[in-house]
Amino acid sequence: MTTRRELFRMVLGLLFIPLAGSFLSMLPSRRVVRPPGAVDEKLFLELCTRCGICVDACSSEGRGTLEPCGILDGVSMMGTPKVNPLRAPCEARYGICEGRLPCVKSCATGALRWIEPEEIKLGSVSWSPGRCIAVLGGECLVCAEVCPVPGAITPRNGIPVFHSNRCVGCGRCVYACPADPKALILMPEGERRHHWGRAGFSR
Amino acid sequence: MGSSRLLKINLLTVAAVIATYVALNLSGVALGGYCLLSLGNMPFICPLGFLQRPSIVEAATHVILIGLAITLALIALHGRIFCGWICPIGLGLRFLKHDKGNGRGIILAFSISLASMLIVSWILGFPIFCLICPVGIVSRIIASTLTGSLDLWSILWGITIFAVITLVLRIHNWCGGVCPLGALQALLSPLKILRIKVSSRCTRCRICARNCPLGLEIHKDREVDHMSCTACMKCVAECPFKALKPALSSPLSSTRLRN
Repeated sequence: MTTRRELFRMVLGLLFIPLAGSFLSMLPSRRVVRPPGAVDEKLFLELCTRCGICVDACSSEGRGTLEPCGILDGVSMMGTPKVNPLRAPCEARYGICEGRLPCVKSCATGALRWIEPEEIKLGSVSWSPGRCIAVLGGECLVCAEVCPVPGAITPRNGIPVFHSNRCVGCGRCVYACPADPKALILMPEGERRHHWGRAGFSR
Repeated sequence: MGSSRLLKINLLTVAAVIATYVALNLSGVALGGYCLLSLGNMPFICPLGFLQRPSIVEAATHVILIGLAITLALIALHGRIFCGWICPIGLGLRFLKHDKGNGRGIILAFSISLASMLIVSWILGFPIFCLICPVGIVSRIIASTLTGSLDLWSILWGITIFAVITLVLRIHNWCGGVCPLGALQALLSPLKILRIKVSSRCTRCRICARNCPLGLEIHKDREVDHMSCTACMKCVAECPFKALKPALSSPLSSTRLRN
């Protein structure tokens, strides 16, 4: 005999987690800059168990640029890692993590996979001229000075010119930008991710 | 040993597990928490977190082995011992007033819950339980505190989930029929070697059943009910005739001792 309590519990188990979970997973989310070697976004959200271990590894062995996404990035994104250049630049390419990638090595879920340093492209910076000190008449080329990539930021008449095809998305320029609010934002545009294909993963 | 003493021990065990991984993280020996802990190249990944992904993943299948081994070792000891002594939500079972639970139908409810959760996860290609997993939420809040990236919103989210579980779903429903973590362990718990045995001193006074947070009818010693036992030891502590005690038995054997 099934009592009302038992029935209530079975209905909860049948409906609550699937309904709540699938509703939450379908809420809109922002695009964020993922750590190096991330698989493509749909698979990333599937594989990542939101354990935060890459964030730990980044803060203890790397520069500490990674942070977990909060609820404002979207409920389905919560706990997944993102690159925040306001905390620190990512040094997966041109820096202390080159050839080491503590975030990738710590990840056991397959959401972050090994990637050669020269393949890394996290995204590119987006420039708002209206906030740029150089455009507003000041003398500032800090972004071009800190940029480690040859030819990614070239000064022309005292104003920086950004070449997003060369940019690796390390975020050094965003971190260093003295303007308030920052004239530069790191965007995932042009990011290089692992893709799942017939022959396994490719870039 | 009274129930209040058991509560103190349980608080200590929960705190000790959290303190252990905080210490491992701070010393740099290992990174992570409940969801994933990596000691050097040895990853321990939550078996349920791993099961929620569809089968297309070619790599990273070896990573499940250590997590599965630890889980099976705990289950082989006393079934849902994780729920009774390690899980921060399971701690809430200690605060339940008597006569809250209803022991019957737990295994059926668990099977339905686990199956529906996994099927929806596979269809969506998304680990839906990880979003609301209270153990994962505790783990992540502690991890982001350690790395200095804790934001107010994730604390609020954690509070919301805990409030829904304790106030809306009620904790005896959650731990006794809904939580897929408990379900996974309960369904594997016939492997356990320690079981609560009822001796001939039992007078069927039902005090054990009234004290059981899940309402298991221990005095009847039905096999199905013993699968969802969390090893909280409350029945053993409260039995006035000292008729109950954990005893060794061979795995997969029936727990049926009397009718």
